[in-house]
Amino acid sequence: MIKKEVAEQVLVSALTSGGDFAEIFCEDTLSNTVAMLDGKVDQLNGGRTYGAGIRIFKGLKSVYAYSNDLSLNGLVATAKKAAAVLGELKGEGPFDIQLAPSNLASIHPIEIIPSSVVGSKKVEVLRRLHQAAKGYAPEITQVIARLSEIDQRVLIANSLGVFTEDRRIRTRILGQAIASNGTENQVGYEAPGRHMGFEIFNKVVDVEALGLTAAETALTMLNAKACPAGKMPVAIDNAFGGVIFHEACGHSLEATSVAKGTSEFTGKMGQQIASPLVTAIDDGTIPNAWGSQMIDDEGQPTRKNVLIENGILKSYLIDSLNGRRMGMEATGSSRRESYKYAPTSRMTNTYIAAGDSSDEAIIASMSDGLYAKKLGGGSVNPATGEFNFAVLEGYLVKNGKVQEPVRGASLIGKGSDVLMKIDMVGKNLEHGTGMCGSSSGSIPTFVGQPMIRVSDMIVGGK
Amino acid sequence: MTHEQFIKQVFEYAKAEGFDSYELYMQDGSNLELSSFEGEIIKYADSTTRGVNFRGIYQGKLGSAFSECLDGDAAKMLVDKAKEAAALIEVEDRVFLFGGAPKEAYKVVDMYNPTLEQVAVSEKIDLVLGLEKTAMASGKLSKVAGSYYGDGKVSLRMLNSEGLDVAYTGNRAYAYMGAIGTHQSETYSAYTFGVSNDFEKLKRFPIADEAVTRVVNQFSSKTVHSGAYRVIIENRAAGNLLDVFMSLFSADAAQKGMSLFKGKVGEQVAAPCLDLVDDPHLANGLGSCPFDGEGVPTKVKHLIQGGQLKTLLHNLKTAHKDGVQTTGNASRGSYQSVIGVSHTNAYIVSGSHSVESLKNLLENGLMITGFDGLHAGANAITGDFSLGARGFMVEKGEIVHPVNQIVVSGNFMTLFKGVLAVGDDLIFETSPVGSPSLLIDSLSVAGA
Repeated sequence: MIKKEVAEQVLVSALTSGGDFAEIFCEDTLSNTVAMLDGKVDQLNGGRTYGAGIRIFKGLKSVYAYSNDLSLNGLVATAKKAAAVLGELKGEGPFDIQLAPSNLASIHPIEIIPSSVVGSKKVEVLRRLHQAAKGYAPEITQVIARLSEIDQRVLIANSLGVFTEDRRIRTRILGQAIASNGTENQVGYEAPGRHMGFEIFNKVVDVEALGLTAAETALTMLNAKACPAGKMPVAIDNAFGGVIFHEACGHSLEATSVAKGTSEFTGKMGQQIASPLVTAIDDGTIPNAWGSQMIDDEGQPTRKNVLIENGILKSYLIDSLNGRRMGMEATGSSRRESYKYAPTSRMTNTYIAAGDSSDEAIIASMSDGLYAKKLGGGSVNPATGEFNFAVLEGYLVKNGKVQEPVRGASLIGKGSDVLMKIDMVGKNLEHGTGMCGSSSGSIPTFVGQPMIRVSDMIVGGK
Repeated sequence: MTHEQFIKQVFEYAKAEGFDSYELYMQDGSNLELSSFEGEIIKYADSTTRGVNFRGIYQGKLGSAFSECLDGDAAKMLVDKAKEAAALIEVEDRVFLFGGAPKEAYKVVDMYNPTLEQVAVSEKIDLVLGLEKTAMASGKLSKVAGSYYGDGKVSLRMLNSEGLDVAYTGNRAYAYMGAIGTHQSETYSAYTFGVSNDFEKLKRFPIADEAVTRVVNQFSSKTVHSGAYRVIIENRAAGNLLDVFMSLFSADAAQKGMSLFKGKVGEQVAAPCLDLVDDPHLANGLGSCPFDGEGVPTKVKHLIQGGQLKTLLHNLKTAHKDGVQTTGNASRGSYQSVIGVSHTNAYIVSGSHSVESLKNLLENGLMITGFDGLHAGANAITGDFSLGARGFMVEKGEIVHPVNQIVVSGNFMTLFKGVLAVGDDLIFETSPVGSPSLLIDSLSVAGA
């Protein structure tokens, strides 16, 4: 995208007002979406995102500026605009920045680049999904099938000598079915994604099965009664169920709030913050996983960070700026949606590690509770730890047996509280695909866990 | 390459490639963002961006593509990609590029304030530092999580082969802060906001005082027993909830079987005391615009009047399909988005009840001041919502204690019909959807 010499000159310009660190992040991204509604392709969208962000630190202060102009003059102008915020520009100065180009060999092999696949093949995948879902039952009134592909090339250089590149190709397919009885609608959806190209359909995703599952959830929920409200034990199934850890704990371990002392887990390193059954990990290196990448968006290699081991807090997720405030090393966890955002500490693929209870034993242990088979999104307030998330498919459990389906439930609680209440952890770890929104934009993340049991939670319903 | 050269190049290439009609949507923007923590400016972000979206009709089908790079390669990429897209489209809907309306049809909307650009950065820094200082001076907070100021300007131009050539410029500034207080070892927080393109007005917003009040008012919150409660949904919370369900009014969603208002125009869908308006001409409204995403002049209209559904929101395509006129609600989030349907500034019209009067009418019940997780716990297709919430317990018309850790559940269709009274306190917070406080007959609440 830009030459080493250009990057060196831009970084020198960025440091002319006394900054002690400068970074440039260049991006050239192609994105493409094909959507099918009711069996017909009805929307395509795509284009090119192109620009660069320049970041300068002076102690704990940071300045960020970005523009679409990647010419030498354009970048130098942006760098000087940013530098001027920190003080008077003092010429080019006696700076000597020697960049050392270095690229990691990717452990996320891409077999079929999305842009090399003709549109009609993509349409065919969507049609198979549609037909499977639509044919499931007459109550399925609408099916949406959508394929999204992104091919992001980044180049990151900084005044410490980093000059590195990465290419992140991600593919995700969504199947959404709506079941209706004329007066009520219910929805089911599945949306798996990977750091992969079109080979995702040979290796990971069976589109027919995906369509059927979405339709099955929608129909089950159409025939479900309202979830009862109150406090009860909850078994949360694996895969996307891991959103509970993501919201209840993951965000509160991000340096963004820990560094400012505004997280409920600030100052808790080495302490018991979860049940001894809980070991939680954030791993940006899982091959071809949705939230993986070779390097983070500060150019550091991603890694496997054990956050909680047997209930003890072992690590936060730290970016370089907040690391300065905390006096701690960055953890390869700095991410951003695009050049339009300064990076900060974020999750990659986060999960609760497998335990030793069987799913059957977990369900059998509950006399009166809720089995949350599928969860939707949620949110958290890191300051208070209050989190919430939606149950997309839930069932009542009575006397150790799964009973009728219930709809319209949400689960709420406080992170520090719920982590201590995890009293059974299953064996069958799976990951689920999500997009996580926070101050540095919307980024792909995996959430994951085996089935877990929480001794009691507040369940919303009617 | 200048914008004019770029336009010429794209249009010439589109014509040569066989497009019958073609259009460019060009957006230029600049933004400034400041944040402070513990008395210091810790982040300063400054940016300029541009982007274009190309749309064209090729053999009766519409294709589009976007780019942030404006050079010869990009001109070709836009047209080629749009052509590829058009070739894959299977829906038979008729597509249109709008040829423009007479100049007088475009309302002059108050959305740009030139004085905002004269404000010195030092004044903005003073504002953001002042927020934290004022809030901490109250002595009632343990921390300010951050104070923020931002402003931005956006210029938009749309032009096409059918004669359309329209443009506008808008700007705005905002400030917000996050405040944290600790009481009896429990932590409480609140975020408060202000938005205006008049800097002097923004400075006078009581953002810091309000943050303190909202934190302190939550001290000693407790949950309540599960059950059905009569509730007041306070103005901000009501606006945030309405926001999630606004797609019910989209004719596009209705035509796709994704809105429960499908086929309901003319029917009673809400309590008779409820009026809901879409007003694109509101001075400095967050959703204000003289023309919509297709270049069609916007207009003010009732969506609900006396509880009756008057119209859905349309763009050219959905209007043609339903055999009606477009309502000028073609949406285009940015140059990266395809055309959809969306409200502009939508709000429930204020009624006659003060909040005190609503509390007296409530007698015993809950006053909800905030919902959590609206993006997850509320679904516009089903109308269901189940949301973490906080507020106050009200007995005999008086607040008795603050409430947190509850889940409030219901269905939006029932909620709209169950509005008993409408407050006189319409407010827009951070979105172009506003509401006064609403008294609702019954909602299910989960707690202890």
